[in-house]
Amino acid sequence: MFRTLKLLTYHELLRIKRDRVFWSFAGVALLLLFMTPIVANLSMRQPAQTGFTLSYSLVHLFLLVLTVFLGTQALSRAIERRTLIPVLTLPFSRSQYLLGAYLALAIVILVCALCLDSISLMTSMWLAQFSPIDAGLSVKAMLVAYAMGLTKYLLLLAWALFFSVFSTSFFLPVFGTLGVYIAGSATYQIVEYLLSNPAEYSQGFILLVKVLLYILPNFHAFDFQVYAAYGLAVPWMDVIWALGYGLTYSTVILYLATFCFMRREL
Amino acid sequence: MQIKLGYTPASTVLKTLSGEHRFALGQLLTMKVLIYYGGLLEQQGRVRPEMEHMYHTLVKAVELDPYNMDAYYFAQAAFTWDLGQVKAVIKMLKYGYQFRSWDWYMPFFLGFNYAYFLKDKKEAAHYMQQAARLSGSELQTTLASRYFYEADQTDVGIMFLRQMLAGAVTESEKAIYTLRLKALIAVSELEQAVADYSASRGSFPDSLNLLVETKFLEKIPTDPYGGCFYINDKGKIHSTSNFSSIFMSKQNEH
Amino acid sequence: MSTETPIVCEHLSKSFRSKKFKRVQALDDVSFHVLQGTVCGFLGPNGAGKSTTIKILTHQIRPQKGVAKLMGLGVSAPESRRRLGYLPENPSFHDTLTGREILNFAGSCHGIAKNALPLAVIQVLARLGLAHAADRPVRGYSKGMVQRLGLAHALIHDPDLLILDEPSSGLDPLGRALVRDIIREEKLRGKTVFFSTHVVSDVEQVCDHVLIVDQGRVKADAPLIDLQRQADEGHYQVLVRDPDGKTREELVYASALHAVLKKAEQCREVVESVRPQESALERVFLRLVETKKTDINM
Repeated sequence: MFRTLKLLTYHELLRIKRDRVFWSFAGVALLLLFMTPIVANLSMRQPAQTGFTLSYSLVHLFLLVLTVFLGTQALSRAIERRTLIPVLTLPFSRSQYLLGAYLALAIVILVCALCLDSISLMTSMWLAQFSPIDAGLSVKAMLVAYAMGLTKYLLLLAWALFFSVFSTSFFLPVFGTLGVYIAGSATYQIVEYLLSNPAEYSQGFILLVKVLLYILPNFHAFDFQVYAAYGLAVPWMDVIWALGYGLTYSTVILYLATFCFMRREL
Repeated sequence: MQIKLGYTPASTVLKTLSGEHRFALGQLLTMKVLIYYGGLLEQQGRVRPEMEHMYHTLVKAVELDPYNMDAYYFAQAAFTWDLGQVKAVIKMLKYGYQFRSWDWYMPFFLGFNYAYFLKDKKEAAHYMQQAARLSGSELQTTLASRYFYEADQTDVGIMFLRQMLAGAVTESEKAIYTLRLKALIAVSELEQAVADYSASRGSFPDSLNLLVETKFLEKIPTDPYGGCFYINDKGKIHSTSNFSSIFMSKQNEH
Repeated sequence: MSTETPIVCEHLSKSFRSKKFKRVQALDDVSFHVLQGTVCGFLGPNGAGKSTTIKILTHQIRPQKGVAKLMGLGVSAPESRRRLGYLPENPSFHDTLTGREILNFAGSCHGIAKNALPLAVIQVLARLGLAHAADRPVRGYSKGMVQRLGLAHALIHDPDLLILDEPSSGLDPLGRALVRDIIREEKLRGKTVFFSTHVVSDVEQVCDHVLIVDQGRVKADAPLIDLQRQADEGHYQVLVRDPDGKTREELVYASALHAVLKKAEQCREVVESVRPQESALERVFLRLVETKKTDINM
């Protein structure tokens, strides 16, 4: 079981390593990332905060592109180009294949996040030297923010594979994943806006809305930027809760993806 | 050069769509205003500033990121002196103070605005005490008391600007404060001469030239904003530049 | 080697939804067995249900009815493919990987030990004449090379059962000869080969058992010799040279062949060659497929 997973993961990694599109995306992200200090220096009072929020945004924009690109390509393009057939008729189950693909993509996203986040961290700390007031950046909180950002994209990756299972074209997986991303990013604000006057609604309704918020999913739960940038105390309970939520949610989506993939006809 | 700020979408829409990028977006909106303002300064009053857009863009920026110090700092530096939007700035600062509750700059700005622009000594003292407590520095405490119980308006402004200049980092900040400081020092000099004149003659001088003729003043200082100083019938010193490099042309039209 | 019957299909039925919501019956109650050590040719016109059957056997699609087993195991169990070498129709591989990388992966997945893998890969590449292209990305392979790589992919782990979907398609005459040689070699080594084709001569040259399908039904399932015996009377082309040195061509029925040859001898003519006009299997095949067409017309 683990041997097969290892092999599948390695096979996927090898494929991604040769992917020129992946490397060009990574190159653009690196270039832009090294340019953030220039922009951040325009800030009057908080170059370090600006450096951090801009580079955080940039890194996560890249992770979004990567998740959508890799996650949808892994299956739907392999199905479309029929390169999946020789692989899937080897003696392992489709669930193993899907899990192996997920692991490989997760590793790629993890490695990219590690590299880019460390650049973001270093430039922010470097910018902090020029801060007119105590920069207030908290390395501990920054690491939390990076880790939770990554968790979010691993969850989105599960969604990308889920959509990828159904389709042979890029359309559904790409727009499905982007749809989940946009919905997941927006839900919290919409719910906050809807429930701005909680007295008007019954307890049951509020609970229902909150459950729906987490099903959609709620990406806001993974956003710890503000604690990192402004040195606020990290709410550890929220961190643990978000981690558990992300893990459970990804597992459920991966399970559903496997369930559908087992039934899919090639 | 095309100087245009333009409209930005409602902050609820921005907040909903930007998701995790709202902090970066808030920062970029602030920078957009900063760059626009820089352009205005270069144009030296030839362009009518998009006041509403500037203010609303900053409001959106702080709704996206309520901790964004650049936005509050800029609002304080630009909207109060140049654009005369003190009440709007106070509203924004009060909102920001809820979030940046550790930052002595917020009550410091609030206190200064109440004292200097609104002449509300009670409110000013309330905020200045908080600023002194948060900053924990002796200097703040003494400054705070001197501001509001001893000095006159122009001196309050000079002291505030000296303090801001000391904390300024970027060249553009320093330039803004230096310019304003020069103007206030000139005004202070003129006010002193007017005070001396009225003490000995029992009335205000009709013009500033009279001060030079009667040797109360060596020469009329130049307005760093490019206008000409004049005295009104209540003995107050003004300038045709209105002490604003942005609103000069508007003033000249009148 | 397993004593189980390598391929068992019982009452397989499969229909697809086509355009305009019509259902197309791809397989209709298909049952057959392929016995250990045989080379079974799977013959049928285009769209007869050959690929559907093979896809069911390799668990790419599921039958609506019926049971399919490889090596005694239901095809849904990954273990059923442990001793299987499969060549898809027009195989396609990740084109950024090299031939060696693809075979390394397949070999490892089939459980070849790490230290034995490099040798196995080199051997199978050499066997298919791809050794020179081992470290080139598949992107640069010709269609025939990809087909050969597909065969290498199927053979890398020395499987007991080979299922080949149109193995000769896209190959030049040299490649076709290579495929025939490989099938013969595997048979001699006691392996079972099941391959689909619509080329009758491929089957005649290497098979000992023939399975003919058409319109999703099994039309014939018998040893090659038995089928050839069932053939109708064919034609022979006889080339004779008379004493003056002129050559003459005659087309004769098999039943008349003896008389024609005898007459030639009497006239002191030389019989240059006697060639059957079409193969016995081809005649059987055409008859079976045509019978069905008349069925439909009625």
